[in-house]
Amino acid sequence: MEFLDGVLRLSLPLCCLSLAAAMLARVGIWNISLDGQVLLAAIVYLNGAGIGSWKLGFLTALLVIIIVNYFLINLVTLRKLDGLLISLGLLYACQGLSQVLCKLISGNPGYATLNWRLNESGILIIGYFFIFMLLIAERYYKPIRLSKIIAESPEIANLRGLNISRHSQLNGIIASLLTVVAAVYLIEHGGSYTIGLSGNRGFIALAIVGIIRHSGVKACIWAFVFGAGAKFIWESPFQNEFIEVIPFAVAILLLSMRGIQLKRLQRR
Amino acid sequence: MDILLEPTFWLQYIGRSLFLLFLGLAFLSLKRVGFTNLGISAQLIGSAIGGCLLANATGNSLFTIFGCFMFAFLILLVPILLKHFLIVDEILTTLFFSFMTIPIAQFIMQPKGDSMIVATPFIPEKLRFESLVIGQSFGNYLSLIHFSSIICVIFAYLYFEKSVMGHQSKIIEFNVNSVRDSWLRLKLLSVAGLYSSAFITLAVIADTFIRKSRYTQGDYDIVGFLGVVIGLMALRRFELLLFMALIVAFLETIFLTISIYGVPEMVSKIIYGAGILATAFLMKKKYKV
Repeated sequence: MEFLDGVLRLSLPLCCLSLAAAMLARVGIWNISLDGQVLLAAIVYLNGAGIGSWKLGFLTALLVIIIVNYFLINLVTLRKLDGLLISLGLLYACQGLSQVLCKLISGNPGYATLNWRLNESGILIIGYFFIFMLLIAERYYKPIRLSKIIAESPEIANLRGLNISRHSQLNGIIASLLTVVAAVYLIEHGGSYTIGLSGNRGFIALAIVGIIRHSGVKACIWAFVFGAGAKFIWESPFQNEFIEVIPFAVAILLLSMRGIQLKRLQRR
Repeated sequence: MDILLEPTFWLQYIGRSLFLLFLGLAFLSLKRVGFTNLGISAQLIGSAIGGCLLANATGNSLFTIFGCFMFAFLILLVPILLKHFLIVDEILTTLFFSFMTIPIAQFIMQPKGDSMIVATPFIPEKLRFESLVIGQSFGNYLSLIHFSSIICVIFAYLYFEKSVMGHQSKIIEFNVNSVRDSWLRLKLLSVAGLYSSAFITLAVIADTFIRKSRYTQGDYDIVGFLGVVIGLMALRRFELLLFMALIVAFLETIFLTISIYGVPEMVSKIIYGAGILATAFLMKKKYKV
């Protein structure tokens, strides 16, 4: 039971970020700036919660991340700029901005304590509730269901008369919400903002999207698998630098297995 | 503004620009065959550590240079083979290699004895190529190896724009399956990988061997992304690489300058990110690609 509880707690941020990455992957964007967005959302939330209102913190963080994703989507899909370059630029900008805000709040660019603490279990429940609602919406809510068509074939999406711009922005808003939920959980769980808060989860999320492509349910399943793996590793008696290598090595292995599967399908 | 009159400043600036030019070349060589390499940091770290250890073990310059090259190429070979045979997205594999190399490097360079610094041993003096340094009295910031990057740009331009294999590379750049011959595709990828590794090797010699004399933990952790940025901002044109490298080096110089005047270092990241976005937008508009 304790193991399951640990897995649920470890998986929530990764679940949220995987879904966020999948939402943007559906409109053709590999969002490499996820880690930076998590840091920025966390520090903005911390600032709002520090004033005494977690709702203000949450809403402000959401607004900021929506603006960041709006720029990302606009520059890539409308202006046709290179998505990788824009994501890298936003990654640097978000990291820098989060450190500046942290320095202004606490005097230290790499650390700030959260003065107002919410019930972590409550956030856990709310987070999984959001994820559950999104998975339901993915199946039954037309605009989200149709975004998968855009991912699979923009030409067919155009023929069906889908407004790609509107769907892109909707996906961006959902991705922003998920990113903020992940950031809020991480900062409430740790009790403080640190430069390593995201723990490279944004990149693991991209790996999960690389494995599952656009399915939200599969993204959650793989997030749980990684969460279980992380729980197992943390409780392992063998701790050294190679522990940090394991999630990435496993991700490469899973991507290779998916590649083998695709090759077999191609031969048929 | 007095700093602009210092020879050291210009040697450092030009040296840094040319080092970044190598990285941009390494990225663009593979980008032109449809392979997005985000693992330049991994190649740099592997090549630098391998080269330093080989230099101390063998004391032979040719063997050391060859070792640097092989380390860089072998790190790149795995994602190339995964992409070619298993259609695994190279953006993720190369990115993960970068993240994996950092803790592995830390393990290899664990401080021994009383030392607190996580670094390789110093390279033997005879392998530091000090005879190639320009303006040695001001420091080892610039050397003939740095200037070889300009020759590499010319070579890369001639190969990719004027040679038969370069034209074949153009075909697979946007659609890998447009070349049906699987071995031709692998050959084009491998040749581009060899060139990329050679550029990385020259960068390591210029920076680790000549300028710093050893590799210290953290030197190349994020610098690989600068190569990606330079390569992308150059919009697939080798002739624009030097210009982009100068811009990125200029942005880096701003960080150092404004920090002297009390502006927090983290503001530099914002300037950097904004600079990348602005330059990408302006270049795109100008060249209408």
